[in-house]
Amino acid sequence: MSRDVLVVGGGNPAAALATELSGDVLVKAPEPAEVDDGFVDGLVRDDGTPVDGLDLVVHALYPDRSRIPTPIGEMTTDDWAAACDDPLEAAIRVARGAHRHLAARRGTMVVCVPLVGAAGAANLVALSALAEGLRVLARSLARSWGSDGIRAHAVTLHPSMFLSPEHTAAAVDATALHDAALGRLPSAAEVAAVIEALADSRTAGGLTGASLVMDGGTWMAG
Amino acid sequence: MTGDSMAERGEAEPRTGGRVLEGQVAIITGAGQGIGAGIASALAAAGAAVVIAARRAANGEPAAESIRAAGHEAVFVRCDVTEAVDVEATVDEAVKRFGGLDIMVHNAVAHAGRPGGVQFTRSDMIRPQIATATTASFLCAQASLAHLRRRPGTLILLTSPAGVEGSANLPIYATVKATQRGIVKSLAREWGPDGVRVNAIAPVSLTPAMEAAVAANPDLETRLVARTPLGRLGDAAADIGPVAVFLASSSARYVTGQTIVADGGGFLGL
Repeated sequence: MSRDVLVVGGGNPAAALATELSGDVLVKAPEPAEVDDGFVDGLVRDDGTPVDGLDLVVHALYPDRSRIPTPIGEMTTDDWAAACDDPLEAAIRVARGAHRHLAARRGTMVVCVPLVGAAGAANLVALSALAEGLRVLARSLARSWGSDGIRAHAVTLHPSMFLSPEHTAAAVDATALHDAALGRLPSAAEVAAVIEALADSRTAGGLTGASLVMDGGTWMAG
Repeated sequence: MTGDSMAERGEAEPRTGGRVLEGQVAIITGAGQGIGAGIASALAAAGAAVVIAARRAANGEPAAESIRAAGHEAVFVRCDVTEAVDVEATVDEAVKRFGGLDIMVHNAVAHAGRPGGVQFTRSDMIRPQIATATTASFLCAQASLAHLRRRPGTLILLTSPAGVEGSANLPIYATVKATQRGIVKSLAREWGPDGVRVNAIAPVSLTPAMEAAVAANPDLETRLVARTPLGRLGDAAADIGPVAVFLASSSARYVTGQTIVADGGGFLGL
């Protein structure tokens, strides 16, 4: 039986990871407002077969509005909802829908979050709020789904994997990030390899609720 | 400039003890009961004029009256923190009544529903929790920004240890409380240049909600106390309120972007 993988999100890092992950990879990039509790149950593969059981769900749904630096004083309530509240609710509903599919395979859910949440970044408050919410959502899923054989993790990535080059430079300044200790940032292939290791019960069967920072040694905090 | 005295830098000396918030104005959301009421009492006792922002007058008026009865300044303003117009009106009222705003405390929280995994949470209880914690933090920040910059003042968000370590039984609550920690860290960076400090308190305290949970599950208090090194649950006014006073005071003038866990030592993961 091939490994069934669902990647939720458009643009990077979702798109880059989807090309690197092995298995039967289904990529969906819904608008957050389109995601309801039946989202996962309603997924259909390109060949018309419905999704029935998932080994790995990678969640990285970040709308464009989340990725544009804006001082909080210049945001409208609609801006905030689009940048933070809507994708946060979407992630919760993806998790709700994914539960039975992951339980059927004793699968793994990995949430990819930008480092700005853990480190803080001026003008990216909504993205930071979303990121920290998702990081702790993964921990809560790990706690409550462990007894179902499902493992859950958060993988924290450098802002460059979420933002345009122009916005990344601003975010690095706003986050006061150090240079990467390794002298470079990890590639999408390297991130995908770590996600696959987390999903592999032979190597990570005893690991859940991890919050792994994969940024080439940029941040190195708790 | 590190060798200069504070007086040479034109900064006020930190004040400690007593009425350290004399002349300051505070808004506390969700202050009709529980932790919000405790924080309001503590801020008022430290000299601040306080606005009790609450949805229900049945809670808010008595909370304000009890503070006034103790000889302090307090007023109740009806406020649904999920409505921008309510939050803005509350800030306007504070400025109109007391002449400005120094301390914005967002404490209000939505009912988390029955304990259980995320897949068991009632669908209609998800967005209200996001709105009351996450959206309302944005609304409180935005409505208070101009006034906090003027003083400069401070924003305090009430998060939870669950917002750091997650929760098996209250996953939505833990998630929205974590968003507030993201807000605190990034706003601290964004507002620091204006002198506005932003911090969070993660309390565990005996509140009406906690008492109800204990009534429904008598073992709960025993289990919570057993994992608390200080051997008791916190008191909203005596244990959590002083933490807010500290963060609002000049004693914390160099503290921003932080989460202070006030839970008797139950969570030691930061």
